Amino acid sequence: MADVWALGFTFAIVHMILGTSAKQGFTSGQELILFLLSVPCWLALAGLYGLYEGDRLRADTTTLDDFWPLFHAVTVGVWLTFVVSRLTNHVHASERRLILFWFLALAILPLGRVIMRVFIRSRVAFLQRTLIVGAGLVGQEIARKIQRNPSYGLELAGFVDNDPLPLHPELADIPVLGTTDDLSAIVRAYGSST
Amino acid sequence: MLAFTGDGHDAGLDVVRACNDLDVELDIVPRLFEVVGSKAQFHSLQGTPCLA
Repeated sequence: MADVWALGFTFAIVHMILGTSAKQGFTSGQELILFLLSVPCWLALAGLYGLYEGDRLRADTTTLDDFWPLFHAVTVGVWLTFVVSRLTNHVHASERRLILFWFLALAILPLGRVIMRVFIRSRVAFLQRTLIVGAGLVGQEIARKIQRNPSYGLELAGFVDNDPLPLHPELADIPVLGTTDDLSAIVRAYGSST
Repeated sequence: MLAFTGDGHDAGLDVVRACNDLDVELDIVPRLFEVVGSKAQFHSLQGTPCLA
């Protein structure tokens, strides 16, 4: 969603600075329709570069991790737009317009992702409930890291372990919910996602 | 999140299978995690995953 808004914002700024492609006989409405039709292609391209995988796979994904794939995706997208515009008679985007779009998109897309991540990770509804299987030294260290870093977006539901070590004082309020044999029931009860 | 328990390998596999059945995302802390850096990548040795 952040990318859609950022692309739309970028398109609007380019439109404001350079106006419509009057030389090609476009109206603002036609340009907007062409842009809207291209949005799924941009999102598919971002998907191909793995830009929607990081948050699902890693709790500590940052926009800095996204920057190079984003740079490549935007560059390839602008280049493809240029090629398509030169190969067809119907769409003709000027180099100036494409270069400005490329520059602005490289600034606005990461900014949009930062804002969306801050927004999402600060909302309780978006927290991933998390169980840690193993309440030994490693499991407890992971739990402390999760507690110290709310930006990971993980909410610790508790531990599952057949023979837990005494919990660190920092984890006094984290319960041991049962044994690994009870895992399925615990997951169903607590709605854990990790 | 699967850290280490004293229950052995088979119990760990049961946890992974249970999470798959429940369609729950699972992160696994690898063995020798102390020396596995964040740049480590998986490759496959004829089907067996190895961390490099």
